[in-house]
Amino acid sequence: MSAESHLIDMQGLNSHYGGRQVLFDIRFTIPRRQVTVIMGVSGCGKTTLLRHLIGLKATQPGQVMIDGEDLGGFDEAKLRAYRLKTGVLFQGGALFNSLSLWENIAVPLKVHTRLPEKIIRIMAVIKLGLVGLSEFCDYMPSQLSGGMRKRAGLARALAMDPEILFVDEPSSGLDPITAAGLDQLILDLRETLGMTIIVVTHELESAFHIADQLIVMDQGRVLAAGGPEEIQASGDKRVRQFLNRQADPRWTENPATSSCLPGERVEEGKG
Amino acid sequence: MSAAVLDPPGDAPVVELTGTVDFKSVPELRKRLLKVVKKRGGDGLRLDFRRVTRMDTSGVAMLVELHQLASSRGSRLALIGLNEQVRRMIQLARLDRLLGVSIGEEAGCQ
Repeated sequence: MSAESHLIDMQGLNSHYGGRQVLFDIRFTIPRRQVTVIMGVSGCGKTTLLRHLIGLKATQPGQVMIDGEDLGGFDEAKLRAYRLKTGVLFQGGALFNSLSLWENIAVPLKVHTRLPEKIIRIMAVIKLGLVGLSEFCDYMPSQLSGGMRKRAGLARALAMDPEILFVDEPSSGLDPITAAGLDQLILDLRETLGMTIIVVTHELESAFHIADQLIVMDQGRVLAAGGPEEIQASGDKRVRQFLNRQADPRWTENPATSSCLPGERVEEGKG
Repeated sequence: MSAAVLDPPGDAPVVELTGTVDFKSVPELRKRLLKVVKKRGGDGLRLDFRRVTRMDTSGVAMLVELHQLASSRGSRLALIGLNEQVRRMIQLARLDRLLGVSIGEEAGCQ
């Protein structure tokens, strides 16, 4: 694949929270107009990686290239322009509770375009229709189930017809039928609008259904990257453990860390 | 984006669109097209998409508004020469039936 077909080029991303390093030399590329799924166990660094890619966590220069430009070198104006090209569905949906569903979708359109109210309202209904919620335009988020809020969050992420869509755990908390509908919508968006879509998930069935490319992460590192067949055929022990849903031995082999327990510590051999 | 209004005598006006129909071009384009529909009342309006390269959701929303206005005046909107992207955009929004766009149809509707 040529460099031009890559929209995002991770060239060795490191990330820290305070003194603790959580991402280690992350390297992979994200092709345009394809679905890339980043998966791994909880706490492996998927969401932190996503936060870097959407510009919510500062990135050091030289570590991530977006469309040939250094994300770490973006000034405020460039970062704003980049964010206008992106849509993000956060895990919780992240809706404004004081606004109805259609008003939630209207927010970015009112802020960033000169479109008249009537067009914005029709666009909001179209976006809600994409996620099966067109009849709930005037509902408030508090009147919806968790799954419906998530779908509404996706509708809002699509408000500006983004070139790049980031989706954090699309299926979590959804029933299998709604989750399958969201998977199909992701594929339709790629096909129809040519969107580049990056999905973070640990739902294996969904990941293999929608992915053109899979990135498997573990403990802040990329364990494997490739097409679905390539990942399925991986001989890596940790990848196999993830794919086969085997319990982590670290959970069962290690005793409780006594240093974290309250009370007096008793040294071995004494008492 | 440009829009050339052709007004053949005795026939519905035709607007030839050129370029991208998106949230940047729609505010101005919408004003012009609403004016044509209001002026010509029941004659209908033909929109020629043959030179349109791309359309986003704001373009679909504009078509819905034009359709509603034309219908309220007893006429119809006809879409001509839709490319694959424009047709699929309308289909994704599930407005192909409302706007009379068929899968695989070469010249849109009349």
